[in-house]
Amino acid sequence: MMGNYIIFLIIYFLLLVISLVLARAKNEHSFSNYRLLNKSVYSTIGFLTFAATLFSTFTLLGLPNFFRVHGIGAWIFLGVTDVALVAFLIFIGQKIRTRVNLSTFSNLSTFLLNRFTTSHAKHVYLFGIFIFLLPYVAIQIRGVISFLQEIVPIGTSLWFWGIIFTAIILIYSFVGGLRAIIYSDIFQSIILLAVTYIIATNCISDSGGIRNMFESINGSNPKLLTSPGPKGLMNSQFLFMSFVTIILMTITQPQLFTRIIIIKSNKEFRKMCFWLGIFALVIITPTIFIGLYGSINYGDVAPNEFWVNVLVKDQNKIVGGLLLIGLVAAAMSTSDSQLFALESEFDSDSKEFNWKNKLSIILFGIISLLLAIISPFQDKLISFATLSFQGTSLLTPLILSSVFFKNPNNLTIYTTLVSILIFCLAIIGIIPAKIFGIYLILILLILLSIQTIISNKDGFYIQ
Amino acid sequence: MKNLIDKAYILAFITLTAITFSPLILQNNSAINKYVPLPTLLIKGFIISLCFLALMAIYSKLRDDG
Repeated sequence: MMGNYIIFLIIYFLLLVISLVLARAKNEHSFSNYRLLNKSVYSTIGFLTFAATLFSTFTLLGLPNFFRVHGIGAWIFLGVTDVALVAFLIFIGQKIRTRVNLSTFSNLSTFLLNRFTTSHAKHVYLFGIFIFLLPYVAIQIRGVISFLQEIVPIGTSLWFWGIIFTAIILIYSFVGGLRAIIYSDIFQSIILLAVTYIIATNCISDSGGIRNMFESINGSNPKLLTSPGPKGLMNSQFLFMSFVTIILMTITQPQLFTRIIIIKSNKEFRKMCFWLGIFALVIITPTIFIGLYGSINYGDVAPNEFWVNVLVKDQNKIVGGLLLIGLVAAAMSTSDSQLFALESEFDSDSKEFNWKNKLSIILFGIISLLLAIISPFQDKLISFATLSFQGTSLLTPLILSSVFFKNPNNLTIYTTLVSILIFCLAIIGIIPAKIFGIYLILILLILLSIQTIISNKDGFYIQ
Repeated sequence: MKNLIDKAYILAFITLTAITFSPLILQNNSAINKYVPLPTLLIKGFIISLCFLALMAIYSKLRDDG
């Protein structure tokens, strides 16, 4: 059994090496091509790479577990919000593409540097993405290595798989450029979709059909079928807070912002968004059934046990092997996109090997690995991911004022920094996460937005 | 014309968002719908998602046509 999984892993890593070689052979020696593919990507490739970057390991791990624990209310949190994210993207992305000069745009940090009268804007932005992308990369690593350790155990801890996986994503994001990352993204999107549907179909069939599945849950735990769910988490305020912070990640997370810029034309961009919306609906829907199957059969077990049973032990060997590849590919494509985008933000104008930037990214990889293995959030993939969405959402006023205001006011830089620090204090428990019953992140976002609008004296670009 | 389409789109987006988080969607849900064997909340959530998709399709078409 374990031998089969190792064969699947070897095949996958061989495919990665081939894609790396192909990408390097095609890469021209120019910054724009290496980092942004000459901004000439068509909608089909665009939506596959955007989808792969957006839908990561927690599509197959976190999402079903969320449905298992919190029930159908999670559909608003995941399904509706992700489609709305794309509906927001089609509008704001187009505006951003019109406002920034696409022919000279290299990365967001340089854009901020040019738009504000102080370099502090760039530094606050880099600080924000460095801090808040850490939990996002950490959950990718954590998800995949705990799974690998469970079905292909090597040693007694997660360190072996952790070090191997982190090393691979670092090498891949350093060597191949955006082209190699997009190759792995396309592969991941297709395999993730296929595996999710196969497993969901098996779960429905084992439950005696959709009707039986829902009736069985209605009999045992009807709270799973309504909001706010058995634990009370899926209430209006939580769902709204998640909605706002998740839709904003398209502009605040550099790996997604890059994908807004690289599309060939506005028309292709709109087409990409529409297909991305369909993909979001299509990929999230089957996870409902995987999760509900889990709540019927593995309602009280730990997440790890649920994943291994539902995703591997209850499936045949080939599906289990494909799933393993799908998970590794999903974690790979999201993490390497993040590392590559982060490196691009630090390194503005060269394809040459820059040790200072590479060391920053290696440091980022090591901290992510440590966080993945020793953090207390280990089994709460989605909770950990939401920290990332919430944290980066605080960068929104800074970014949007740089894009749309004629003369963005420097005050927003400092209020953004203060908000990030306050939010960090809330994460480590020094100040409460809710004030007067309202999520702190919502309060910070509202105050930041008001300050940014009030301090804008010179009008904005409407186009 | 483009500005008008943009403004209408933003208005529709905000309206749909408000509906999503209103009691109409999140409250008064029976666990299983009387007519379709699915949870009412799930059906409503699907309809809202499809509305967002339809909105995007209309917006895209109008912008493509200039």
